[in-house]
This record gives sequence, C-alpha cells and structure tokens, in this order.
Amino acid sequence: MLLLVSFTDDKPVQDPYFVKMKGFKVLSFNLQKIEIFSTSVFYNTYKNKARLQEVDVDVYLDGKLLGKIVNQDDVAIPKLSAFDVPLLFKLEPPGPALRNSLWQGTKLLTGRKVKIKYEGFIKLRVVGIIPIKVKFEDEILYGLY
Amino acid sequence: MKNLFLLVLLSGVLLSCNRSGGGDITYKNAYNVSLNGLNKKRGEVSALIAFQNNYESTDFKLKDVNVDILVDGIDVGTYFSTQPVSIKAQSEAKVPLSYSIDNSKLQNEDGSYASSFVVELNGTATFTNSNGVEEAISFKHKETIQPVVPKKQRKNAREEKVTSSDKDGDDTKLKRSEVRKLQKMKRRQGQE
Repeated sequence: MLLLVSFTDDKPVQDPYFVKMKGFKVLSFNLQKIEIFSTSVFYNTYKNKARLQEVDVDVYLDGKLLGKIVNQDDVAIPKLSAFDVPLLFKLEPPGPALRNSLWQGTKLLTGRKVKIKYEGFIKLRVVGIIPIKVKFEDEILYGLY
Repeated sequence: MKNLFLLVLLSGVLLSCNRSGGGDITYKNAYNVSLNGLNKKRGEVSALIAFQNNYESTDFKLKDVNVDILVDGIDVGTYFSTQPVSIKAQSEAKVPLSYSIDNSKLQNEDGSYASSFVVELNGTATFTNSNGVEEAISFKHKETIQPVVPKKQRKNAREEKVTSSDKDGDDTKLKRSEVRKLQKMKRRQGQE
C-alpha cells in the first residue's frame, strides 16, 4: 500500500512531451547516401532520471515517405529537465527512397526549400516505459541553417 | 446615418476600453551568466534573463521559456521551463536559467579547458495574461565569460605554481609564513 502511494506521488500530472526540433542539416542527398540530421527536444516531467529506450520516427519529404529513424544514442535524461535526442536519418545507398523522392532531391540541390515531416514516437525508460509522440513539420534547405 | 455614427463611436470607445494600454513585453538583458562545475563530470550554465512589461495595467505570467545554449559555438542543450514567473505591469522580472551540461563537450583533446568561453543564449519566452492573451518574445544573448573555478582548485593551482617555481631553483621567493618565521628567529637571536 505504501509502495503504491509512493509510486502515485512520483507520477507527474503531465507525461513527458515533445518541445521542439532544432538544428536541421541536410548533410548529403545523392546517389551514394541521404543524410539528414536534426535534434529533437523533449521535457521529462518525472522527478526521476530516465533513459532513452527506443526511437521510431518516420521522415517524409513533401508528403512522401523517405524512411525511418531507428538509430539511438545512449541519452541520459535528468529529472524535471529538457533533454536533446539527436535524430540522424541515414540511407546508404538510398535505392528506391531516392527514386521516389527524385524531385525533392532536385529541389534541394537547386537551393529550393522542401517540406520535411517527422512523425512517430520515442520511448523513455523511467518508472515504466513511457512513449512520447513526435509530430513536426518544417521546410529545409540543403546544407545547414 | 446618425445611428451609423453612434455605432462607430461606440465601437471606438469599446475598443479603447479593451486596450491594455502602453505597449508590450520586451527582452532587456541576461545577467549573471556563469559556467560552474568544470572540475566535475557535469557542469552548469546559469543566468538570469530579464524582461520588461511595458503594459500600463496588465500583469502577465511566464507560460514557458526555451533557450538553446551554445558554448564556443557548440550546442550543449536546450533549457526548457514552465515554472510560472509573474511580471507585473510596468515592471521588470528575471527568469532564472540553470542547465546541466556534459563537460566533455567543452574539453580540449588533452582534457583541459579554455580560460574563457563564449556563451550564447537563443530562446523564446511566452507570457500569458489573465484573459489568455499570449505574447512570445524571442531573444539572443552572447557573452564571453570566465568559468567559475572552485576555491579548493584555485588553492591547488597556487600551490602548484609555488612548487614549480621552487623546482626552477627560484629560492629567493619565500612564502609569507616562512618570512614570518625567519623574522621571529632573528628577533629571538637579537634578544639573546
């Protein structure tokens, strides 16, 4: 009973949530590889430290699915704090993904903006496994800005 | 025609009553920007970000603030807080920022640190009033700071300096305590 009370005391009013995306860099977009880097920022509402358990985010260019980000670094997450999760989308060689997004690639290489969308979730290991929804849309340019 | 004129006049009066008057909320400056705990695994960037409420009679509360922190151009993380800080009409409020950083990002190849760092704070603060009206203020601050070195570390560094000067054969430089001891001995000899 005491354990149950202490557990419910630790549970925050709001679950951890997605804050923003920052630092977009289209590192390469060619026949050899596609590399897009960004950093997502989340907020840990728990009074406990956490660890990143899983990343599962789909990447879309102009509404067309480019692929999935499943890579993950070991991210230490402090209690009641914002934390960064680096998201590196990498396809090497790009194959069908490049064929499907040839027009978007041409737009990027000619200095035009392309709509990018991230949709999926990350999971935190805290007092259990907590999923956090990721949904973000913006326009990107080749290179960094 | 008369009714139309009255309607325009009335709406004008209502609109002027609805106005909070004055202006807006502005970013003033960032104070006490510091970098602590470089002797530990994780350090801390802290600062006070000041805002001015220029409204004549409307109080606001901080809804959230998010600040990208860059040290020497390296993105060390994003500070985010929803702690409510109230900012009264025609007054200033300071929002505290404290963010734990991974010191290894700032270390040189040999594990040492630079003597000074350029800290950049790029962020947005959103304030809200009792009517639910929101104001988002973006701000940028750049400052060169010297990291705070703990007392103990400063003492060790001083002692190292003294011992290194001794090793170099610089015997002419004596510690104050040693000088005092010599003076005492001379006085005693004189008395005898």
